[in-house]
Amino acid sequence: MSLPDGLRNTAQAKNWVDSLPLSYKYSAGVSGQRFAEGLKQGKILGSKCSKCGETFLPPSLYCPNCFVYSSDYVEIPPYGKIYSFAEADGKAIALIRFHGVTGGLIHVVKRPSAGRLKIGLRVSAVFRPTEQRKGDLTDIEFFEIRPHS
Amino acid sequence: MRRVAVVGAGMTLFRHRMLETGKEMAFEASRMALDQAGLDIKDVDSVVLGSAPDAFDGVHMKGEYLLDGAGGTCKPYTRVYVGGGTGVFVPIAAWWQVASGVADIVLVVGEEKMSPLLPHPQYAFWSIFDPILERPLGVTLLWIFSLEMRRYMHVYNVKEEDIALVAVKNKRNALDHPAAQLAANITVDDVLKSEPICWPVKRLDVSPTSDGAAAVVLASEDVARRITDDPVWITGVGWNVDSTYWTNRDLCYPEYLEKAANMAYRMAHISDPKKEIDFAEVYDPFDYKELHHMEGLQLARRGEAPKLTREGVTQRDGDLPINPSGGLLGVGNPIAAAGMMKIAEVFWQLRGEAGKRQVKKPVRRGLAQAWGDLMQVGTVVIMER
Repeated sequence: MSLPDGLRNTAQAKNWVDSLPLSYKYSAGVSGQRFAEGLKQGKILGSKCSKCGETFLPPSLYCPNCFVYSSDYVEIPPYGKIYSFAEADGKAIALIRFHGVTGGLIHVVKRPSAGRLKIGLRVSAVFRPTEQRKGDLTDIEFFEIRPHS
Repeated sequence: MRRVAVVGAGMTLFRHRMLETGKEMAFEASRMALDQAGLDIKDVDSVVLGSAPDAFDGVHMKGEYLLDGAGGTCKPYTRVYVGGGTGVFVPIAAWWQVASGVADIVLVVGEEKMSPLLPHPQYAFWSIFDPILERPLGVTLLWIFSLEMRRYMHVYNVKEEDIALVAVKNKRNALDHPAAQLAANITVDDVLKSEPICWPVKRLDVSPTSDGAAAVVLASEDVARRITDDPVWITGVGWNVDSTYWTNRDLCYPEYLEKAANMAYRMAHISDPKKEIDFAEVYDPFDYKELHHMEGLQLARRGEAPKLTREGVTQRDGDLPINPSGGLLGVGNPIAAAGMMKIAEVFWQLRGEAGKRQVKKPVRRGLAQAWGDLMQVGTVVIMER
């Protein structure tokens, strides 16, 4: 039997259509909750490992290097640099790195009125007014380019 | 084959919803197990993680997602999965590595975060059914268990009251477990009068959905003798999977479990399990399943488990304590972590470290068992002091 003879026409196969609508409610986590509380207070919190001294953003309950609790939360100054960015639909999103910190934040960067976004530009976080903060990442409205950067 | 020891165990609380993320729970249980073993992550050669369907956590690729919480970064790392049987399968997959000489120290982690799924974790089970044959019926997992429980009651003429005794025992045992989610002092009457979910399955016949993690550390004989005076040896492992077409099966007897148990018994040189196993942690997501599984494990003759339960044989102070931890019914059921909780309990019991849960008689040999997928998997581990 040649191959074509062995193939059956499956174009007429009956289909069953099904949908599985799922929605989720995720835990913030021990460190995630501290991070969220910090944002609400207008602070960016990282975690520092007491063993190796490395600082992580977002904060982590444990140091992934030493595998011990990294329970020291430290405030990270809200000034960083654009590590990379993407632009689409009139919006720019960047990975922002902070000096001496492992990790970073992905967030909206407000485009400068003059000039273009560049890797390496210095940016600072602009928090929403206290009464508008919800304890999530949108408590930072955007990052803006720092003058003379 | 090399001898393999358990040298440390740890677990988190079991709760409906934990603040900790899955990674964080995996870390906490792992850290506790390493601390008990007196080891650090750099000592660990390899990591094996078990977790049930991704649909619960809501993160696909869950094994990789949980990697760093389980201490597996840049190590030989595997996620294994055999449904509800996963919890007792993870240490088996880790045992392969130590027994074969691939690794000397393996961290074994079971994690489950069921709470994210809305409106209820049970909804994930919709997706396990055959989409053409079963899903159009709109049945939930509880319907299958109702079919099985009813069949078991019918064949052996078992009364609801006898089955309820299991829930009463396990929830009471769990009062002594510091991590327990549903410990309670209830009566048979409470079980019988609890809300019928899918008769004969009632609310108190069923274990909860949970978040939690549990971990153990396995070591080769050389390492175990160096780091502890009190190793617990894994002397038998067995696993077996039947067809997913559960409708073709005898619902009153789990044949796949008998095969898995016999594999483990052969390895451990056990010929009369009822006499030679001192106590067991058998999988009890439903109260009747403890009875069902005791029979599949041949710790009771077919249809005899309800009688042994009625006579108090399976109590902590009985001749054959079953689920001294409080089981899934009392401690909780974060699927893969629940099976690992049973492994940890056997370890702690054999070392005499179970505190108020310690069974009365002296114990030298214990068994942990889990069951899952579409009622088709049996996993068995035998441990000895």
